Amino acid sequence: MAITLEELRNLFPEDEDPLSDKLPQVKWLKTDQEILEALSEDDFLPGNDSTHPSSSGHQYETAYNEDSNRTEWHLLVRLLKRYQRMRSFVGELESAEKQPPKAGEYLLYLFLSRTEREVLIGDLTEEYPGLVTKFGLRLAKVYFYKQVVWSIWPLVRKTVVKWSAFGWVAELIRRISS
Amino acid sequence: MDKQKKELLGELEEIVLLALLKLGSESYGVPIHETVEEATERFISIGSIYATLDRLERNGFVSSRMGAATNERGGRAKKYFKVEGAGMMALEEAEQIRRSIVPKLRLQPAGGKA
Repeated sequence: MAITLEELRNLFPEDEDPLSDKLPQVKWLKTDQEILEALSEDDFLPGNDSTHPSSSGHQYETAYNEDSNRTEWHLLVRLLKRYQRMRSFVGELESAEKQPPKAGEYLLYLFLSRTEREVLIGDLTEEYPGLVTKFGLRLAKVYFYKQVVWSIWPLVRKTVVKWSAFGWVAELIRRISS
Repeated sequence: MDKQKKELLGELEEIVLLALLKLGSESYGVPIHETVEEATERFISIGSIYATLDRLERNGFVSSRMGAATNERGGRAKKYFKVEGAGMMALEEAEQIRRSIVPKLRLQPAGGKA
């Protein structure tokens, strides 16, 4: 099933705890980040009694003892982990919207001089977020690579022409002097 | 007629010079590229624009300077361009050449009434 970044943003908003209103019984938790730092997934595998959270002496011990429903605890941790992963995924997508593909930049590093590529990559980086907004991520990437490929040749040709002219003059001098 | 051999402007060179005149102090890669693409309604790579600007600079038609690095460009600097006197003269000359061949150019659409 295809899902847009906008839909993902709505599903996983950055400044909202998705479980606070859905699971009122876990309101004693501070933030998902805090609990995930205190716990590891292995601690809560079903049937693994030796990994009771109180054994690690973390700050949620009291809360855990108050709420003896182990199934809900497992569910909560899994939900939080999933939420964390999805939010990180959304974050990656958001940063991908702003940064052009590195492979394209590398191509410019291979073929162009330092000054040329710095200015050119700067221009392409500046243009890129606007293209994503206008055409979407995939088409923006296609346009970016088209720009990269079609930009390399005119600039490389300029250098080739210059050096072949030098070569021609050098050859002329060699013939005259010999 | 002046017998001295003069450098004639190419099509893209002329358009880029006109874009620089239009943009004024904001003449750097991105707006130049946008202006040229909008005017020509064709795909033109930024590399072609820079190759053209480099040629114009070597002929003394434009000058360039490096600007400050900005965050939106990933910490990279802009390169600003400015039309020099020789560039203005080259544009005027291109216009004169056109007028000397056809003083008042009025094109009629094919099959249209005169």
